[in-house]
Amino acid sequence: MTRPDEQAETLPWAGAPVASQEQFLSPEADHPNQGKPAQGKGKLFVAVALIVAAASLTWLVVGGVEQNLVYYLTPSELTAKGDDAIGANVRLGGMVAKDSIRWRPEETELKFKVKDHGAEIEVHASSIPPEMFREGIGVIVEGSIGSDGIFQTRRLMVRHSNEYKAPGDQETVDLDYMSQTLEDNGT
Amino acid sequence: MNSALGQGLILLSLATATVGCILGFAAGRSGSAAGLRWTRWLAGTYATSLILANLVMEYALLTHDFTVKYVDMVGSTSSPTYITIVSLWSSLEGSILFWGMILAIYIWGFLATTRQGHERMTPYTLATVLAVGTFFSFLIAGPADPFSAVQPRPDSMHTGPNPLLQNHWLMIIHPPALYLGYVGMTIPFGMGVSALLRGELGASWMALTRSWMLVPFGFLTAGVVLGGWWAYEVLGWGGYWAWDPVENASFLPWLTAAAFLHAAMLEERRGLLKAWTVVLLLVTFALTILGTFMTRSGVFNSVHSFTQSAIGPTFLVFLAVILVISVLLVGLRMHLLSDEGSLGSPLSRDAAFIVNNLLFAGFTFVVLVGTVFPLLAEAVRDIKLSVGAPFFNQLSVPIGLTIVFLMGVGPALPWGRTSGKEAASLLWVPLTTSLILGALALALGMRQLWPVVTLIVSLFAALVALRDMVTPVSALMRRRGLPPLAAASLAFRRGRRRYGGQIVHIGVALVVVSIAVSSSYQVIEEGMVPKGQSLTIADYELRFEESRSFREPHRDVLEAQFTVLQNGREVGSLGPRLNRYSGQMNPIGTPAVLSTARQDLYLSLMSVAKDGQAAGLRAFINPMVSWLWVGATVMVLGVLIAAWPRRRQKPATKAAA
Repeated sequence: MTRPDEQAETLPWAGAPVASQEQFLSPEADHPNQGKPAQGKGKLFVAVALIVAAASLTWLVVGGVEQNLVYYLTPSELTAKGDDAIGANVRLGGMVAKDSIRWRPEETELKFKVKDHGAEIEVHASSIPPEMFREGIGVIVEGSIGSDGIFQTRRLMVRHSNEYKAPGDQETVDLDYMSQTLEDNGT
Repeated sequence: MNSALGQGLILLSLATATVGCILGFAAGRSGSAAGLRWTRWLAGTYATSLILANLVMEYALLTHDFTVKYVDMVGSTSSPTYITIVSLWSSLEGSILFWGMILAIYIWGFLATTRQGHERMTPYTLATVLAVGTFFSFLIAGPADPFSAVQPRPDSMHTGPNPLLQNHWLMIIHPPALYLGYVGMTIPFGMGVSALLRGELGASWMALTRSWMLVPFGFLTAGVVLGGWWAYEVLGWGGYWAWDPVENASFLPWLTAAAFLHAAMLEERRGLLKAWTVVLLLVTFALTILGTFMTRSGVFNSVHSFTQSAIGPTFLVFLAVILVISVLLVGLRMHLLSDEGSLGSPLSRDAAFIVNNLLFAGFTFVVLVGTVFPLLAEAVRDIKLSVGAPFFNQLSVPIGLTIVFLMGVGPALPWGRTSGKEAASLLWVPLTTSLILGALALALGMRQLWPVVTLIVSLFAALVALRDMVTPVSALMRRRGLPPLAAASLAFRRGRRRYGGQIVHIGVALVVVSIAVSSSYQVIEEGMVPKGQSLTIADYELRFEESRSFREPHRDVLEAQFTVLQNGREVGSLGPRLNRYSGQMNPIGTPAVLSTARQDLYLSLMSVAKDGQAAGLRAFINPMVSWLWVGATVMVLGVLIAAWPRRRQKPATKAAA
């Protein structure tokens, strides 16, 4: 349902697509390769351009994804990586270790340890602990570990694994892992 | 009673959908008029039974009939009535039932617009829509049955719907808007399948499909933005978009639907891209199902996915079926939809539309890869990871800005072809004006590259849109000597679709500028603020007065009162809150926002010391965020204008299909 009345008055080129198509297929056209004989070539050119565009986008996307992957690691996994892990942006998930929290409100400086069965990592954050933050609770911190073995984080997320289907703060967590560590803490 | 009635209605819907689907395909093949009449009747009955089933569920919710499984899950006698009403879509089972009701409403609408004409295309369309309906009725009848009769749990267990739903009114309207967007894509999908099965795509069918896409597109636009707004008002991290998988899920079909709306114009005007246009319909629908799967199956434990269920696999199978059928259909039938015209010159509206479509497709690809990659990594290599926001930003900024630039180029150029000279004369005024204004912004202190580029490109597109709206008015005034108002009204009535489209473009320009500025110039401060003292952020001082806690019917509220001083002058007070719901360990915040045209002051309460003598506060200054909501409203308004049904000038003719 073309609506020629819509634009006819103001846009002389609008409407009647077939007529205008004939116009630019005429030999006087500015772009001679648009003429019928050259159309095959034009199509090939478009196809090649499309393939190049698609390939380069794929290359960009794949490269971009690889650069921006953020792995979820437990303290043991992070420790096992040793020096390889230094500087890499990861999400570290574990329990807040007992008696490890030092919070200095004046400087907004929070230090604590995140642990699992095998390892314990010192975490420094310059943020206010969330309401639920306490010993023995599951946390996920996003940041990177330095050569001094201290994990600097910009983002601290508190986890809980009560069976109520509750919303998370931001991101996902391995619930199996969390409940396992919670049990651990209990014994 | 409610339980049996509801289950009966669902079984009726399942039966009518199945029979209607089979009959519809048969009628499509045979062209039997009686077959079409029966299909229409079955589709109507299907729709009615689903709407009635929803009413039964609402009745059960309102009367707290805890013998109905879903009421037992989400009901609570202590919830306010409006919460009880909307808890229909607060959890998985109810939201799938609600999904069915929206499909039913769309089916009613579709039956109404195809009462006359389109006899060859309607049977296949209805058959496809009812095939989708069969799947959802099957879900409601089986895996996600909300109606089954249960032994009520003790009343103390009835804690009401998910706290996130109760926490903010936006969560009440965000899901319906999104669902109206998602589910509405089923109709154009059916219409596309019908075009492929018939191997024909006429102008009037295309126009009808376009209208049926515009309606859900408008809702989806609203739904996506409402989701961002909700995140901003509730989650307390000071932003509205985090490239969260579930946010992406709503954005993906939006991108392909936008591509379709443009491709459809090219098809309509120039007879080009027929097959591609239909492919976009199929892809859009598949993405809505992927989105429903991702939001509703709990594959991502992200902010929105509060429902984990066993029906995930069912959805995945359905998605696979859709993909296989779509690929088969396209592979076998696409050659029938050959183009009538041929492409204009590289300097034409045609070319701009084609490049814009490719960019929309590229954008979709980027977001899709970033969203699905973590799932695949987990499924295939069993490692848990996420794709960081920088990935999305790196690629979406250049792609998005090019789309916005073409949003200016396309409408400025004529269809078909232009000489370089003509193109230059059409483009130079908006282009130089936006460059000058961009330089002005640079002089005024906007120093970051991307925001300035965004500003220039968006201004360019907005100027072209404005000119495109003013030109017909001034032409009518000149040629016919009409007074300005009469000319504007005539121009508007004649070119309503164009006006709608250009209004959408202006909205997009507003949204894009607001995103660029708010994300580049955000200021964050945080600290423990002792009573009577202040946290300073930019030229604001936030003085902690006191904290108080009180009970509301469905939650306990802890509120910290802050007095806001700007340059030493008191400008208001803000009370960010932490809300605690029963059965819920983590509190959910309600940030407090002081919104002005220039910027938002956004306070998020992190904690309050046990003695109430100090409050942990995170404060943000988010420039220009209100323009995001304004721009989005303009977009939805534009879609509404473009989609508003035209008065029937002549009855539909046989030219249909």
